[in-house]
Amino acid sequence: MSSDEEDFNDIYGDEPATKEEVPKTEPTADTKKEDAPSDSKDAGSNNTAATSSLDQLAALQALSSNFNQQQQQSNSNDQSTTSNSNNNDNENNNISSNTENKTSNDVSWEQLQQTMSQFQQQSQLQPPQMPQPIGSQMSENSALAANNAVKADLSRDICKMFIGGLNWETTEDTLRDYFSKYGRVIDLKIMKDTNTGRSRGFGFLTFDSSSSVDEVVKTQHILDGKVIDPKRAIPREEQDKTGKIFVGGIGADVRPKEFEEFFAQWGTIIDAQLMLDKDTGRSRGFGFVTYDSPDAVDRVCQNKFIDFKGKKIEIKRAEPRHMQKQQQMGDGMSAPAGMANPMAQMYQSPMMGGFNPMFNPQAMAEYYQKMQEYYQQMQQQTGMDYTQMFQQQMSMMMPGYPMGGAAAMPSGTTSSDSATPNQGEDSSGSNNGGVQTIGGESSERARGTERDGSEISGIGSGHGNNSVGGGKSQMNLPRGPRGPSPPSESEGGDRPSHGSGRGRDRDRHHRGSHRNGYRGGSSGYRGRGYNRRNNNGYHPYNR
Amino acid sequence: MWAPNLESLLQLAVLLRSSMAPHQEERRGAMDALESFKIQPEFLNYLCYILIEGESSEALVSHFSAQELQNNRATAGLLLKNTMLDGDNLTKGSQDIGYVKANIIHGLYNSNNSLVTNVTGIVITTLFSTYYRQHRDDPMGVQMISNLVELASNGSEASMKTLSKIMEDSAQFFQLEWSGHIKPIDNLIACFLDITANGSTTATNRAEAIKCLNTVIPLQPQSFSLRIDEFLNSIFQLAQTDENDDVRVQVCIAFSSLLKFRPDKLVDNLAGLIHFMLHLISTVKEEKVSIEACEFIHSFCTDPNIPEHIIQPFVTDIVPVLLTKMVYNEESIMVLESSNDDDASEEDKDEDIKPAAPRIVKKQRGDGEDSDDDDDDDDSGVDESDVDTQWNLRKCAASTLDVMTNILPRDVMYVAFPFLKEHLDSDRWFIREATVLALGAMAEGGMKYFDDQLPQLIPFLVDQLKDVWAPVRKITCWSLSRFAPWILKDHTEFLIPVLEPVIGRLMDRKKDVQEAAISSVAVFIESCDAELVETVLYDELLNSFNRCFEFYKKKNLIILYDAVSRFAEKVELDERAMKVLLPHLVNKWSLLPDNDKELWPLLECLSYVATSLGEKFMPMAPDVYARAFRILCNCVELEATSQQNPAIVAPEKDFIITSIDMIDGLVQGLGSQCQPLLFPPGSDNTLLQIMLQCLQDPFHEVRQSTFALLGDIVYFFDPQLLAATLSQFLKFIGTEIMHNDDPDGIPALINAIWCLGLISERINLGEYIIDLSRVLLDLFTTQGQILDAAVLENLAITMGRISITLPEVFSNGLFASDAMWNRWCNALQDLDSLEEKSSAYMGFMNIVNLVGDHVAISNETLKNIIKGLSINVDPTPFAQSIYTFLMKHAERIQGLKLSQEEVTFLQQFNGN
Repeated sequence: MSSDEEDFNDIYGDEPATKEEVPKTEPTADTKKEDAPSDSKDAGSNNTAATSSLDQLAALQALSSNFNQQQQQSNSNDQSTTSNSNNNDNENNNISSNTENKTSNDVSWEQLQQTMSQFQQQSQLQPPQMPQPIGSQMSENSALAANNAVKADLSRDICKMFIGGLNWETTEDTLRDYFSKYGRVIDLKIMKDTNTGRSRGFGFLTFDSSSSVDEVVKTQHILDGKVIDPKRAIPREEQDKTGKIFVGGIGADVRPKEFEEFFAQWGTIIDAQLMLDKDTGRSRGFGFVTYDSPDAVDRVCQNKFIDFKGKKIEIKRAEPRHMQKQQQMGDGMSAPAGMANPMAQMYQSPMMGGFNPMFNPQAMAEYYQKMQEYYQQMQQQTGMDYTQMFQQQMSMMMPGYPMGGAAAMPSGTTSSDSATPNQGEDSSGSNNGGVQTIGGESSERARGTERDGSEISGIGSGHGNNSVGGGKSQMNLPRGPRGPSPPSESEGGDRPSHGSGRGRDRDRHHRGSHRNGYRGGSSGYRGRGYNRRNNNGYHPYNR
Repeated sequence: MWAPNLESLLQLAVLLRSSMAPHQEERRGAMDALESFKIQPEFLNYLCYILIEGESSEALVSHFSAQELQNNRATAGLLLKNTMLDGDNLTKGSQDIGYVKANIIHGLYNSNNSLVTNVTGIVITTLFSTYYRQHRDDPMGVQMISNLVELASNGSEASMKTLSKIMEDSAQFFQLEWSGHIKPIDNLIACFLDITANGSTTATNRAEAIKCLNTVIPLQPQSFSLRIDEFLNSIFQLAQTDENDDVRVQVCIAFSSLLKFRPDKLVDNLAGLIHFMLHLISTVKEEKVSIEACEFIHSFCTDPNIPEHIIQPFVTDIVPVLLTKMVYNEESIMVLESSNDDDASEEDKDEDIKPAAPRIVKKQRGDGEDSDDDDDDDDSGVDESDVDTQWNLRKCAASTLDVMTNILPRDVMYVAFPFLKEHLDSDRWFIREATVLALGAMAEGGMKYFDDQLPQLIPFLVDQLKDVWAPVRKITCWSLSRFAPWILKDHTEFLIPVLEPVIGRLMDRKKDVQEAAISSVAVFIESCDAELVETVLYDELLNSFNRCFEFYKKKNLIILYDAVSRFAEKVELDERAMKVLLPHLVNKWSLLPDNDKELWPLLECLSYVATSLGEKFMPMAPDVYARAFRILCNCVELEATSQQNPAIVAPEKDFIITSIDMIDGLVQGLGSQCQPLLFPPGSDNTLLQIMLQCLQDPFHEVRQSTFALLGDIVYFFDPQLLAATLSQFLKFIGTEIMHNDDPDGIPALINAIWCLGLISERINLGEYIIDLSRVLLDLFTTQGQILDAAVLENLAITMGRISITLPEVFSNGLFASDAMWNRWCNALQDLDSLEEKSSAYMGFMNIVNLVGDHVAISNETLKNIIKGLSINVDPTPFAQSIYTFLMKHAERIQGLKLSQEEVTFLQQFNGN
């Protein structure tokens, strides 16, 4: 994977993201949920990430202790208890537990000296100046804030930009032509789908001077008929030191400049994004502000609601995605053995129906978050880039919310999905008759969602604040690949790689896989991915 | 100017006449004589002369009757075409075709004899697809095109039809430069556009001109793009005014094609287009028109570039039309009503059984293209089974409804469901039938939305299994199987209530219903958990199969074999299954002669059963192997001799494939126990020699099965067996990896790669490894071509396996790079086989550790490696190399964001 891919992840690390939180409207969370120590109500924002970074420490420590053990079959139990206790008493013992780690590390490393001199060297250097994992710095900010304020260092010039929302037709040449008026472009790349060779609708561009970047971000850009979205590519390590909030309930008349100015009173703003309707150019009622320090976030978040242009706007922390993920991990780690992996639930929930994220922008942002993680997961499983597809869907969905009372579909209101029995279908209660609209069809999840987004925008009765004009995307809107389904879904194990999604795919009715389509034995070593059992059976409309 | 020698001309004409004689002897004699003429360099000129001058040459006219002259012309033309197609006659330049090139077009002038003009058209088309493609610099080619264009523009239907055939075959070649730096495509497009827009020409010419342009659209040449609006104007105009069926068919195809390649041009008119298509579907009697109109709707719904919300507004219009067209047409209803009687005891006629070519996906080009066409034409007799064998509007509508429900389930259900509900208990059977078909078609996409309806719907459907009308029972069997995933996932309470009545239909008195029932049962078996089959269904299925074997006729037996195969694949068969199933299989097996095609499905089934029975199959193994081996040897030998002697017809490849698979089934089922059977001590290992021959077969499927067998032999048997032939096998593996770029050949490629990995684990590849590793790397690092994910995965595994012993071949050069390592990890991320993934990573760690500091490993790759190691890998055998790796990067690993699995993975070293 290229470094640009990495950058992509970096950038999307700061996509609109709010604290992962179980939707408040979930009165019937099942026992698993209740068991979980995750503090769903008060959304403890201060501890869990720390846990996870400590977990990593613990893991490394475990690793070293293993060597230790090889040398001297003793300490392992102690080690693991130590790491466990680290997990648990993270509230106040951060420093002491770290010290503990260091000491234990020292011991083990020393014991390795004779056999592994290379590590010995490391161990001597490491403990005294072992850099604290960035993650923990960030999340421990409340504890550390008093004496050790963290700030993103943006003094170093940022010349690289992420350019999102590109027309699929846009080429590197047209992109270069367009941006050359802001300065000399020294590098650029449009990311392509490895399978189709098609543009994925985003790319990276580097100017030779950061002042060009400053110019670019000042204005709106239209290229090949599409509003494109250039952003500073902030290196991840700097990103992690920033702080981001979600702002909801903004009046439709608020302009981006006002928005930014208003929030500047709490700290230095790196990026303020007021989400605008692409068609009308008006505010869609919510946005994100990125400050250069977590302190600013703390300050602004002291008020849950703030008066702004005659409306009470809502402020909420939006944590970078990868940190939330860790938080999840942390929970999982400290949870009693045998408990379901909270991640598994999280990944399922957005798709399986069970909560309706669309009744307010806040939930929307949470939904976004979950979707993104879901897609990431999908991407890992299937090797396909759902993220881009997801971006598109979101852009179509966003203008269309408020959703609520989805169409009265005669069937399917009581769908229960065994995989997620806990996702109380009633939870969003009053406002979502059509929960399953999100759940969609297994094989075509992505499509389903998109469809719902655009369609619901037309319905959404009785939930006020109906903004118009959603889902009016053009024919040539970039879209994710369609058709291939998550591996677990397909009856005969169609592999996504053989996507039947192209053109006329009647073949997908063929069942099963021909064992000899590829071969390998029952002993589990067969080559994979072929599906060609020939269908002698009856089908009323196979070609 | 060439002129025929009169004597030779007459001699040839006599032979041609004899070749059509009623007496077989005479015919054969003439054919042989004609065959010997083929070496004459002027043979083609003579044939051409007879084709175009056959009724005007005085010499001929004086010797033959008018009827004979006409027949001779056509015969000469077809022979001319076949000879041109045959081998390298034209390309080698051994034949003089100067006369053909200059004069063949005269055959089109005589427009009152359509047989001659058609044959001439075919000859000209062949001339382009063989000779001119390779001799584009020959000015005669461009000349011929402009002659044809001129004739067509002046209204010659024969010329227009010829152009249409040429375009169908060779359109893409006209984009290249021909003699005089001319790209013929430009001229052609201009001509077709003019004819399309020309209101005064015949409908046939218009239809053919659009047909020609339809071959151009996918190529998107510039000269077409420039005038695309003109074309659009014409066809929109024709859509409104021209009611000729042929024109309409081509107009519909044009719109479908434009939708795919130039959606931007149609987007503003979508509503109009869709209503136009719906109008055609609802009103036009001629089904070929309504099918193409429905195909447009189908493409509209499946095109990946059209978002749902564009489709969504049309659902209310489209769905009702589809539903009404899913009812059997009048003719079919009549046929079905007249044949509703029981027929279970009637034997199947051989010609009723679809030529079961179980394995070969695509016939190779030039091989039997004509005979395929003939097959289609032969099916025109009205017979009840024909109702369902041809693509028709009903099928197209059902298929469209299916895909639409997948895209917009809620909308489709919203429109369709009330409609269907109303007709569920219609007193006309064909309405009930169509309703059940529609429910089945919507099952996959609409599953979620059926949810609260299904508990009522399912009992209703089960009830339809008792309908007096066989077509209703038949479709219900299928429809219920479409709900199998729903039932098996969340609603197993329906499994028995549904499956039992379906199993009951296995013994239906109507063969058509049996067919649907056994297919349905096969689907249920396939979708069922193995446990469920084992604990709940095992006995019932066994008993049913037992009865079916006694009851079924040829055609349904084939599907029964398939169901038994799936059953055997799903569960491990026990003694009882052996006692029940084997006698039937062995019985059929002994009744069939070695050259009976029915052996294919039977061998396939036996292969699964053998694998599933494992050691229990041992007593049968010697006989089964002996026969499979005999068939294999025989076929391979015949194949070889047929290359030398054209009189010998090689048997179908399926005999080779199924017998190899049968042998492979034994190897998989019996493991090392059957080594003495396949390779008796002291023998010459004939099987390996035969396999080597099979690996040279041009059919991918043959090589695919052979590589599979080779892999299993290496896996289970003593590797020493291969000692003598190893270099040859490796050579073919290398060739396969280097040269297989045919997408249809991917399974063969995968098996070759997979096989190489197994060999490398067991046999020291020493001297061969340099070349092989280069071949693997070339493919792995390829940029230009998009690699199939399964190919990439197998490549990664094999590279890993090789590196368990020989990591040095990948530790420098192309693979020693961070990007490649990352690619390697990504290739394996979905691999769930513990054995494969562990071996792969074991070798990979060797590479990485060997490379050491020469490659700066990125955080992303580092994380990817840890992620890969943490899932589905047993680190025990190579824990030491993992330690080495982890400790080297310990500091950086601390900075990584790790998932739970990864943390657990790191932690597990604690427990050792």
